Amino acid sequence: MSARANPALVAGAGLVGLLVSIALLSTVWTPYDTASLDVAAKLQGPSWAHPFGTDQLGRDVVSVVMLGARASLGVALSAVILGLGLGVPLGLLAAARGGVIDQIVMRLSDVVFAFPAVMTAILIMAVSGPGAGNVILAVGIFNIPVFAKVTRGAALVQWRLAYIAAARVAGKNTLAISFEHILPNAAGTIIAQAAVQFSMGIIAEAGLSYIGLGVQPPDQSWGRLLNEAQTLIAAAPHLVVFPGLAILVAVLGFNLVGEGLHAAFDPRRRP
Amino acid sequence: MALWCKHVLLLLALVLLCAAPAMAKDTITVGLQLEPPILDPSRSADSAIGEVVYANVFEALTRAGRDGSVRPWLAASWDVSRDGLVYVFRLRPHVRFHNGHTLSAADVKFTLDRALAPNSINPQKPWLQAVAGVDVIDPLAVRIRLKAPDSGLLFALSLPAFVIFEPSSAAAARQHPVGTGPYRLDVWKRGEAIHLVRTRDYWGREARLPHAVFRFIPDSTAAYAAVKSGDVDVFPDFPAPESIAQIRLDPRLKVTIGTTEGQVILAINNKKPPFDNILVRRAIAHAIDRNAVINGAFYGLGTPIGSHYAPQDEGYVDLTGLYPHDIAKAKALLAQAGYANGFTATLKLPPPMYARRSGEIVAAQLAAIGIKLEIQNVEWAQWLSQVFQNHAYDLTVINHIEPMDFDIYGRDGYYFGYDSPRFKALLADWRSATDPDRRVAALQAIQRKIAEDSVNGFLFELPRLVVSNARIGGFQANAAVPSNEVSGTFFLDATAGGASPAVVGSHSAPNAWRYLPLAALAVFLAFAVRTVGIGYLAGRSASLIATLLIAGSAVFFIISLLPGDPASFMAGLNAAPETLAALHRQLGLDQPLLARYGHWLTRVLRGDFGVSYTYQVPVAQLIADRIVVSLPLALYAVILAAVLAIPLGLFTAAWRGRKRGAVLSALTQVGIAIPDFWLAILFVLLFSMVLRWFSAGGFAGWDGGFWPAVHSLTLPALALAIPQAAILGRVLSRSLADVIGADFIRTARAKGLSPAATLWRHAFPNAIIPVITVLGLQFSFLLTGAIIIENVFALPGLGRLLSQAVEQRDLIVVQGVVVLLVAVVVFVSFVVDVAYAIADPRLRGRRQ
Repeated sequence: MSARANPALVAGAGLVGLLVSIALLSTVWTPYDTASLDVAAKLQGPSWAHPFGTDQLGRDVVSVVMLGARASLGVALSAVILGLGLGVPLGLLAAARGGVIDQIVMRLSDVVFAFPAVMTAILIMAVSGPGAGNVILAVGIFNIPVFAKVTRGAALVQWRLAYIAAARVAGKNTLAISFEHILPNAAGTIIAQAAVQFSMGIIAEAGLSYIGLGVQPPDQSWGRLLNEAQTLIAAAPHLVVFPGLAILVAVLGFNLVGEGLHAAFDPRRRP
Repeated sequence: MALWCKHVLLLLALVLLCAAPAMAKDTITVGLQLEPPILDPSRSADSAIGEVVYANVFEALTRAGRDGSVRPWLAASWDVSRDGLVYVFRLRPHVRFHNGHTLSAADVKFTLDRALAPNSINPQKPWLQAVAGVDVIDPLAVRIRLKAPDSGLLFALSLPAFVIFEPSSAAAARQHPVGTGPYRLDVWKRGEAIHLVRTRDYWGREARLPHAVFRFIPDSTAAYAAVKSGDVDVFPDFPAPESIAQIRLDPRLKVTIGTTEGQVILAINNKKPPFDNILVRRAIAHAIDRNAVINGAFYGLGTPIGSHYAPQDEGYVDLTGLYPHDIAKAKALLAQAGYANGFTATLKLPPPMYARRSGEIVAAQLAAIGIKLEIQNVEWAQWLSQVFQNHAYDLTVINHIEPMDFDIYGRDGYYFGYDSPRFKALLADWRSATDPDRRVAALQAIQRKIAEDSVNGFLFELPRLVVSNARIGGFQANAAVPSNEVSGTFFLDATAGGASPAVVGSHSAPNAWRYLPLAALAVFLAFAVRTVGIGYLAGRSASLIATLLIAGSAVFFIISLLPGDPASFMAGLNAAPETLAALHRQLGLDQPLLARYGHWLTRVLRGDFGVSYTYQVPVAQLIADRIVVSLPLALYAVILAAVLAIPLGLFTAAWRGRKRGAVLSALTQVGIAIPDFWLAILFVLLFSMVLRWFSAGGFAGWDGGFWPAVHSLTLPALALAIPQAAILGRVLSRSLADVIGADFIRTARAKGLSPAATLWRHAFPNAIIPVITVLGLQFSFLLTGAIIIENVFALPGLGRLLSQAVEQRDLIVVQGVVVLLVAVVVFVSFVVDVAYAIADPRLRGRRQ
């Protein structure tokens, strides 16, 4: 597939690749050490030494934003894995069995859908305190019915096809058919949805960290940086700009990947 | 029709009133960060209560000065017996309560007996531990008998928790305070402001301004904007030390650095190894560089302290030189204690900015001597349960705001874990010292002992940053207890007139449109019954109710699992255990879980959400007060989103395949990816700070007219709407693209209709259905998504109510709000389903 054929996928993959490299790089190197504080150099505007300026504790904002990529990607990835791990089998089961089981899975999904992710997160934080783990749990729980419904929908389409009937006649049981035939053919749709949920996870992590319920120090998070920057908006507006741009780029990257994948797997969308 | 006209006229009148030029300044507007939950200072430790009512509405027998000295107030004079065991107070004559009742000794006895009762929930009860009894001698004389001499009694009687009540009004004082002060409560607009009005027959000097308004502005950016714009005349506890330097440059504003009774300390768990070793604690003291902490955490605006004692208080000794900042010495002490290589420990930090920033700096300083701290940010609820109650901590940073509170170092089971018989003896010396010289000597010995044992790391005295209009005078910034006395305040150049401002107290306008949604729903349902049939509707309704019931029960049980005790919030840091038990009984928290569930369910079905623990008003009322912010905000955002999305979608579709179209789609992609709260912050920066078109936060309130309220919702609604408009625009352009391929479009083009006309007249009406569906779903997203935006703009909506209630462990409010939001989400998806079935007959057969 050439870049011309699917520009969204190529652009998205580029942005996502960039972010992943930054997150990986930050585990071994950042321009400055953010653990030691230099209060005397606080709230400097952008300069050659500090292209994004320094924050209220004198830390280099480039380094801090680099570290933030880790939390953002880590939380979103874990939440997607949680959603995939539980949602996909549930969706396959609902599609394969139908009837009462299908009803139960779908009604429970409705109940979970009734809890907006931000509110669920606030409840979970209230039970067990703020922290990245709880953001993963909250967003992951929200992801489960999303993947269950998408998988069920894609699987139902497959079940109607002739080759499944052939597999049945060949004596394969439901479980084997679900995993050997249905899942590989529904995978495209599921992966495209995963990219969308990935970007939702990034926004949710940023929003929850922004209201102080997400990633906790000493770990950095773009949302938390925005929270701290907001009180300093009059003194140091540059602190607001860069973490927000980072979130924007990350969300844009995953949305484009999702879009590109949808287009790639959906023949109707091909230009 | 006549009624309808009346409402319109009323609305017009409201708008005109708001547009009228400001009248002579006869109102002082005070900005406060925190709203008091109730207005009775004898029932909650929340210092925000005293900030509003103390000295303004309620008064105590005595009044403490800036230095902790005590002068007569409602008590004109007193005599102390030679053994210090009997105090006789003579009351001022002709003191009137706001309800007309005249102050007498019986009221004093009532107030103190109520505070001393076994079921008392008074947060400062330990201050009265020496009191044996209170007797009425005559209507203007009252006797207090003590079990042991107590030199702190006169000071204690000045505290907000011991203001004098009148028996018939005391029970309702949480909402309807009746005191003896120069102002009485006029109206309390929850989430916005408390209005006080001058009383006629005050016993002392009448207040200079007839009106005082306390406005609540929780966000520091909004506080900055409020003082800059003159929305508030004085902000006595300005929350943004980083902005002080800029405010000082503004000649219209005045900055006064006052004092508080708050010591910011690095509290140490003295019971837990290695902190039980005094050498380790002293090493920590040497490792701390107070000036760097003050510079980093409070922009240089704090006074270093060396012990747990406020520099302005009686008998202060400067002990900051006892452990000078000396890393070599600290390392040596640590090595002597057997920790040459240092150790690791945790540092738990509560939410306030001073704590979080001081904590990060202290952690970096201790790292320099090899003590590696793992920082854990905790919410207030967790701080109270983990640190304060269960002592599950190593180190924490906290501000001890209570005045003269060094007696906590002598309290058994206090969270410092400090147990020193020698210190307790010093406390007893101080209590029994009725002679001033002996008392000062005792106070100094107490300060020294705390510092020598290096019980905690002492960082700095929290300053009171008073930012005010340069034109006001007579505002009392320094007070021994957290309070804002406004009766002496005046405007320098104004002739404070007796003209009372036009109080627009009409609630009828909002009331009238409260029925609008109900009417719309009735019409919708009637239409649905006609088109999709009663059977389909009944089936969908049954599943709606099942979902609601399961979700509601889930909410109840999740919330019942929440750790953190609501009672400990209300009781505060100085509460006695029996106070907590009394509070538990009062809140019904001593009942078993299932009994509470059954009780809750039956009440919710009747529309009763219970009574808020902290605000002590029905939850339904709190929600009603907040929903008039959140619902219009969500509606406004949906309308804006639709208005922006329609041209976006149309142009994207019309320009498909062209360069302009590609640019528009790229912009749409960026729009979808913008986090709305970041956009909100950028809007504040641009439209509030630079252009000053909109205020940076807060809500004008519907009482002040329609347009000011809409104006204050515009920035948040726009921030919410833009990403949603991008999503909606894309849905529309996709849907248009699908429709454009259809035969009837080709027919229309073949008829000779222009592409633009075809798009608008034929494609658009057919493509709009999926857009309406997405719009419906976005509405519930916006209603809950506003939780974060409301925090950016400090809007008193449901989202803020929810986050505040979680922080304060007001579980019954959390339950109410969550159940309501869940119900809205479920209900909106029901409406969308039904609307879909109406629009597309094919869907009606596919029941579940």
